[in-house]
Amino acid sequence: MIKKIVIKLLGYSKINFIGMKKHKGNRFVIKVSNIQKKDARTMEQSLRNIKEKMLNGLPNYYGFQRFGLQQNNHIIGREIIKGNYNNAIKLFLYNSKSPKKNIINNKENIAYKRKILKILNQKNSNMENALKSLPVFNFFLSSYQSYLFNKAITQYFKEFGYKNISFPVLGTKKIKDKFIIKIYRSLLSKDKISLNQFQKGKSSIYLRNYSRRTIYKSKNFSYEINNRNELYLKFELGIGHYAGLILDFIFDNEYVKLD
Amino acid sequence: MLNKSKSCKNIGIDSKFLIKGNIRGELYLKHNDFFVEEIHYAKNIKNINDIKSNPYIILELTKKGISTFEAIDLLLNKLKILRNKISYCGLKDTNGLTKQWISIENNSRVQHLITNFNDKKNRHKAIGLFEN
Repeated sequence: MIKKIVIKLLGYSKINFIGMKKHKGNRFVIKVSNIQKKDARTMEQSLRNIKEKMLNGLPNYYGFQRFGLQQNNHIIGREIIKGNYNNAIKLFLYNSKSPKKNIINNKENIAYKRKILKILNQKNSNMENALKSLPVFNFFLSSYQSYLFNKAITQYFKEFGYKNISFPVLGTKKIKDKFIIKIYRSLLSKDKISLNQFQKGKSSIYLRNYSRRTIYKSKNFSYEINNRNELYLKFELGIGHYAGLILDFIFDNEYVKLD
Repeated sequence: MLNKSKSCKNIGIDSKFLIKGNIRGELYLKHNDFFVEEIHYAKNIKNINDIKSNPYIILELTKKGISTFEAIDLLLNKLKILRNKISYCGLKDTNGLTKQWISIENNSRVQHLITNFNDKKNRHKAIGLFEN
């Protein structure tokens, strides 16, 4: 079977400068086929708007990839923080509102589900242990932190305008800014969680403390339409930003995705 | 039709703040339609040289239609090295053509395998080729 990878030797180095998030960013080239033009002027206007928005800055939201195949990792995280392990497991095992082919066929997902069931069948096991045995356990918690961040910056934009600041992601550490803590407290209360419960919950639960900018800018955005009705988008994004969320909004149809 | 504002609301995004491009078209028809490559800092690029005795080998990994995890696993198997001997900067998209840099702890055996790979006659034996 032919595997789809190729490696190229670049050279040798005295130090290891390669590692998680040690690069500057990513450069994208995206080809869009069979562009449906309403009229040339509208199209040009749309592309100019996209370019302006990309260069001036987009909200630094966490995109769909952060929330899992079933888009409910944050809900599972919320239930874990509330101590509702039973609910969390049910959501993980059964909740799939729109089962897609890739969910069913995802080997990793099936393996995790099997692992949970195996542990639950063992003596002296409980829901908490079963969940914690999953390598993705911390993803559920960070998904909930990301969800709160998305909601919090939206609220911030509404109250204080579209400003680019370093915004804390709610973790175990106290947040000094009174307005930001007020936003988080109100968001948590909607989920029936107190700030104290979130920050001083079970010691076994790890909630990372860090900050993230509220707005990010793309560099070198350009576009080109050729006479074969193909549109090429070229742009650069910093680390931690995904092209998927941008593409989802540039296009108003559900574009074709490969399996 | 995908209900974008509903999907966004579910993960805490207010779609009013995002782009409304209103463009209709087809993406991801082929893996080559989505290309992503890493941008590295100039100070790091300067570290790369031809001194074969240096402790790290720097490679560019190009993959198509598979995840970074899967691609790294393939490399580990081919080069017969442990996971902790290889470093990379992050995960690239599965559906697409992607390029990323990786580093491998240097030793003569791995160096030999990689050099063979770059020799056109042997490269299919060492790692594999793209499917057309």
